[in-house]
Amino acid sequence: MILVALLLILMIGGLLGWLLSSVNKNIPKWISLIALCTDLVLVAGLWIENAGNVNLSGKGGWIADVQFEWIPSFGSTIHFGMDGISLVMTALTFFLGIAAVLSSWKNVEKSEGFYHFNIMWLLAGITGVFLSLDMMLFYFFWEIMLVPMFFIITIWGHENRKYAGWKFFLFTQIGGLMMLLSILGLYFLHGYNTGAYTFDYFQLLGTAPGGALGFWLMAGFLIAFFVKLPTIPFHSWLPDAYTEAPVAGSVIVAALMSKTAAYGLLRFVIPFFPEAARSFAIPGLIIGVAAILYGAKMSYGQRNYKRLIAFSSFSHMGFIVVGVFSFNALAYQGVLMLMVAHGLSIAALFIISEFVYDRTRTMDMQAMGSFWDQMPNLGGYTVVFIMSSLGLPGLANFVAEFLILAGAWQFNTVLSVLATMGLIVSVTYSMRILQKVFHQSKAPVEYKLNPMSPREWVVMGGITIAIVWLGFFPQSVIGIAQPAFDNIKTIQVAEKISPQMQKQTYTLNQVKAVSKTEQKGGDL
Amino acid sequence: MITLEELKWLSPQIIIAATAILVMLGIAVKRNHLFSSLLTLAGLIASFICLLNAEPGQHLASNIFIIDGFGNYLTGLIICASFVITLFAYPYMQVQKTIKEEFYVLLLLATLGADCMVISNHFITFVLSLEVLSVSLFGFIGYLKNEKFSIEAGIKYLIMAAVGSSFILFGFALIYMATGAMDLQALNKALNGGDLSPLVLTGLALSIVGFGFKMALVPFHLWTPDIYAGAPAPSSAFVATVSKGAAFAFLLRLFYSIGGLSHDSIWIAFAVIATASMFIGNWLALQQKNIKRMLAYSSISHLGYLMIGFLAFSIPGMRSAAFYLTIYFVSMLAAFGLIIYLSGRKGEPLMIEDYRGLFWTKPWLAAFFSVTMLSLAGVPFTAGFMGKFYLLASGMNSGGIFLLVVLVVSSTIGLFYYLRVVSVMLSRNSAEVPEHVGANSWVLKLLVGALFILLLWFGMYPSVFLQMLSGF
Repeated sequence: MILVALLLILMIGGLLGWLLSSVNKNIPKWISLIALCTDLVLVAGLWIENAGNVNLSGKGGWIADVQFEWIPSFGSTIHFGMDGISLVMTALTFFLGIAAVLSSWKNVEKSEGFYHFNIMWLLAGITGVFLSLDMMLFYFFWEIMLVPMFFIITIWGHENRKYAGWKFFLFTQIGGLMMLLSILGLYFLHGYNTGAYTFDYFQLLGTAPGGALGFWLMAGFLIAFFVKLPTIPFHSWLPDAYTEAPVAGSVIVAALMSKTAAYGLLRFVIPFFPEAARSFAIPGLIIGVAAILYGAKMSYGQRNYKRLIAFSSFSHMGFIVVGVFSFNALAYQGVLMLMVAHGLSIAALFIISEFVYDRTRTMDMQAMGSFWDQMPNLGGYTVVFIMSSLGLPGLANFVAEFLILAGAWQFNTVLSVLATMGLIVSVTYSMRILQKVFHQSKAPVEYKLNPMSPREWVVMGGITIAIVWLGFFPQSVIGIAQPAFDNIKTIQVAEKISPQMQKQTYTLNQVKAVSKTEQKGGDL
Repeated sequence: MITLEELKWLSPQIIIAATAILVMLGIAVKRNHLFSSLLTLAGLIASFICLLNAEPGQHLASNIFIIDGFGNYLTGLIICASFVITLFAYPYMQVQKTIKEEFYVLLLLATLGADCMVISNHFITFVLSLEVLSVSLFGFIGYLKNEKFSIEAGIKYLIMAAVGSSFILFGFALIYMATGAMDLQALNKALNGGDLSPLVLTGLALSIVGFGFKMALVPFHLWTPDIYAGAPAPSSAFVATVSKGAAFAFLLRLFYSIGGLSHDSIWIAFAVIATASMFIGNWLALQQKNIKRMLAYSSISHLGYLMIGFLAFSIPGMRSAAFYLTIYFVSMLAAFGLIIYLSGRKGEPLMIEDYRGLFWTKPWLAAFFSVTMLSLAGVPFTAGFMGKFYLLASGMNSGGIFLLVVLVVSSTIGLFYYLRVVSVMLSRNSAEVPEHVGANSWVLKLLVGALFILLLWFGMYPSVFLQMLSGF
């Protein structure tokens, strides 16, 4: 029940804020803040309750699981489940949601009610993706993320907001529809094989065959996730959307929405298509490495602060692809760590961009310089997050990238060496931010830079504590998610032995033949 | 010889016919707009109640009508749509400078024609009901006789519909010549499960042309935008929903009962038409600045989507088509409802630009309109998503992957223009909203609210509606 409550709190909070915004325009942001804090407390409660319980073997790693009837004629139910991975991700969602709301506390120019409605429904969509265990429900939430994000970018974004919003919407929508076709493919394959038409995650596991059909079914999922992550070759919406979105939008799209794709790779692609995914391992690794290096190179060439961070995020997402396609436990732990660590550091860097923009009304780094003199505190925080982002030991990202690279090394040495090169380049572009914004010669224009306000202190301080904590105690995340990873492993092992799997390699034509014979009696 | 029991099966249609006569007689006694519209509503409600009490199962009324689950469902759908359009029409006609009462006679007659089409089991009954529908639509479309566009649209429709009907007639004549059968069961027997002679094939091909006209499928779609744009908004809504739905119902009956879709060349012909409708409809809708023209092209693409359910050639396919048709009806009625809501003495808000900044002047109406657009686009949480989902599922079930990819790609093109309307409504400088009929009509407000709820209900919890489809 608590899982449903998490979602309802966000959705109702959003609606309530919109309705009450006509009373007082400050109400929506307070409602959002309170709703997100409530959710965070609920999730923290679950975390503490299950932290010591590393071996959840009795429940197969699942902390909570609820199922209601939804559309019986489709074989679809409202099925939410939470294991360690979803627990960590939902906690991150609410934590960064609070940061996003606080960072846009003052500069929503128009219609605050509708703005917060969009933020809350966007977060609800993301939370729903992390919790859904029914493929139709999952797709439902996956698509819910789009429209509010489109509104956030096109209404409250910067100069080029319309273009960016459209581009974002089209890319993600096409990706999502491809995934829908794959989901339906799985659904009917399962129906033909067993006679039971269902969208349930657990029942669909082990449905997909190897061979060409398995590969094409996986391709639908991969396209959707690669678009959202984003990685080569579907990344061209990223710099526009990340740059033009208002700060809360940037934070959510970079820190949370991209993680839904990473989560999807771990939760769906690997367990559903173990064989097809393995056959895609080398192309996958190459895509990942290319994204790391290309993103780093692009990042180094940017003048616009937000664009630079956007490309750095793109580069880091390459590590996630590398980790996912390395197929070993170390790398998977690294992927989860990177999802959290990158989420925190990229969110912080975008929020800093907003703090700077607030005072200077520009994102152009050529127009900045020597801000350290007037804002030493913000400069200090920037150092922390940049160090984290470039992988300094003792901060969260280092653990994550180390684990991924250690895992990738066991799988493919050459590519992991190339991926490591990305770490070196990331030092150069990250340090460039510090150099251009906070040091260097004086800015061409004289700015009056106010010191940090208490609200800004809270946001920056909170994220810093989290990043340092994770740097020193990564086990707190990895430990709670371990049973879930064991699950992924056992699923793969089980499928390898299953003799059924060898028999049931359907080709596309066979499926058609089956469908022709059964078309009168399909169970819809 | 028609029996009393058969009359009972046909009572929904008979009630509508009787109401049409009553309204006409009422006008002869004394002209009263409110009375005519209330009488129309009462007739539609009575007919709907009769329909609810219909006996389950399949009945043949003298071989010329077939009363079954599918027919009853669509009859009910058409009656509901007419009911909504009548409610829309009242405030709309109230501000027009023309006589108003005959509008309802035409509406009832057109509804009668459509209702008979969906239960036709015989070529003759179908052609007769089609003519009842078409002839009433001529007047219905050209009703505002002071507006030259309305007259022009009426004449265009007259010519196009006549051409379409003659194609259907000629096609049916050829089929009759080859088989000697006119009702669907005898036809099925004569064709012996799909062994089609060239003469029958030609006949079917000609009738496809006619059906293509009626349903505005590419390449027979050219009349649609002019008529949508020229006709008064309630008439456009009727043409977009009821008349297309009724033609589709008989098309489905005809080709399902004679097994024509298992014939490859027919299947391919329909697949080509469907693909062209999806792509061209969406593509041309992109170019439009007039919202009614945009809806016209959008409806072309929606009928293309609908053909996927038809082409699945299976019970799930039929159900998904009926479900999609329902959702299409609701979405289209909602879209036209908003146009009617915002129209006034000076006319209808035709251009997309007229809706600029509506979010800031009338937030609720704009939210409602956005949901309608998103539903037409097929975004989750709205009805359109569930409809497309079911279509995709039934299409996947019968292995027509190519059409599904076309649906996916073309509906992505479609997103562009639906979202453009939303983004125009969101832009920061608002256009003036002139005096409009919706402002002081609580009926319109309630109706718009009800359609809004229905769109979301379909989108989130469609089980209740899917249950109704299990009868066929």
